[in-house]
Amino acid sequence: MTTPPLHVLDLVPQCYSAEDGQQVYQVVAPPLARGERVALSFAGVAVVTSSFANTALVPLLDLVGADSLRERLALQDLRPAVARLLRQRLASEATRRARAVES
Amino acid sequence: MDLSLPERLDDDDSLDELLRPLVRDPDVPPAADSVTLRFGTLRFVEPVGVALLASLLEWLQRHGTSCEIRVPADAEDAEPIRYLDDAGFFERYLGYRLSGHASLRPTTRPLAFVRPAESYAWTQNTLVAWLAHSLSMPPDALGIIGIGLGEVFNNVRDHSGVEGGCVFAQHFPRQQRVQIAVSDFGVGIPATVRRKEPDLDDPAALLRATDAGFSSQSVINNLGAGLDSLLTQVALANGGTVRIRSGAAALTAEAPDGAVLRTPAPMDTVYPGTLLRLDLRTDTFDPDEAEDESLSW
Repeated sequence: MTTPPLHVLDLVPQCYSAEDGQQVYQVVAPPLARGERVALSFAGVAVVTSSFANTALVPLLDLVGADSLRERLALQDLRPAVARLLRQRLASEATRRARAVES
Repeated sequence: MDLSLPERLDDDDSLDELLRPLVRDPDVPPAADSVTLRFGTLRFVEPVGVALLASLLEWLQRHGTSCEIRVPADAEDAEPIRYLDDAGFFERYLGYRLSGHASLRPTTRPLAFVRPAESYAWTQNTLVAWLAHSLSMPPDALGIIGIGLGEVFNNVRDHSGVEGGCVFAQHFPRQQRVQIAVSDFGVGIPATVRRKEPDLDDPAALLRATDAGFSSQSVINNLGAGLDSLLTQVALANGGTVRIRSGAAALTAEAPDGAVLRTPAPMDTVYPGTLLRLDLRTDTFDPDEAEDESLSW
């Protein structure tokens, strides 16, 4: 089951601080934990930070695992700079967790 | 203490010449109860020099050191003095402009002391709006600036121990670049890194702080990556350069060949906090940038 697309700017005024990220996490985590697909739109977002990504998205890796997260969470309508940062954070943390499991 | 500014405030040597007599450690009171800064000797100043001067004055005030600024009347027409006056420096620290003709230049963003809680609004509504207007671009095309400064100010909030940083920006239209300098006299990056890895010297600590997976965990749930993100956005994506000075170290980051090259170096003089210089290219901002990417990772 896919929830209707969420617009991140309906959840927080900006994607800037760790607190902003926590608010987003609190909305997207429950449906993902239930096995649902979530689409999150970043339309209108020109600025994100690693602090935001670290609390909004990275903990989802621990919640559902990297493979499930790739399958169930769709991040859409991204500007290149925003996509670059979010991709960098998720890929880096997924790799770190995979190495921790292997060692 | 009577101190004449060096002739130039642009490179490390000249910044150190100003710092060395006054500051050894941000937590140790200044080396004098009162300081007179003489501006008559100044011949050239860059944004990093302006940010440093402001940080220094804020730090002296914070420690209760009285500070007098002296500008000889015959120096008021000298270009660096006029530049500072037009940028609002003397209005901020003397309470008045030196010249009745002083006015903000369109290529200069006046000195500002920015607190992290205000930094998003200030960056978007003041800094980005100013530069976007100068470049005739939509503000969203300058997202890299917001992202970069967001990383800087989140670091100030999480690690520095001070209330904010001094920011100064200068646009160089003919060179197609903008320089943004941010300075704080806080804990400094090497000291923060050594909370987790105590055996690193300052250059190694500064380099470590820019590693993607490193966090000093000064704040619970802080996963770090802020400086790595800053370098990636400015050096790799924009084609600009980042120079960081903190403690007894400096680090330059650029990406001449498609990968970020980080070059740490020891410094003879301790910078009591952190000084960042962002040199961004304005010809790589894309006014037609679309919001059409979906993320795969």
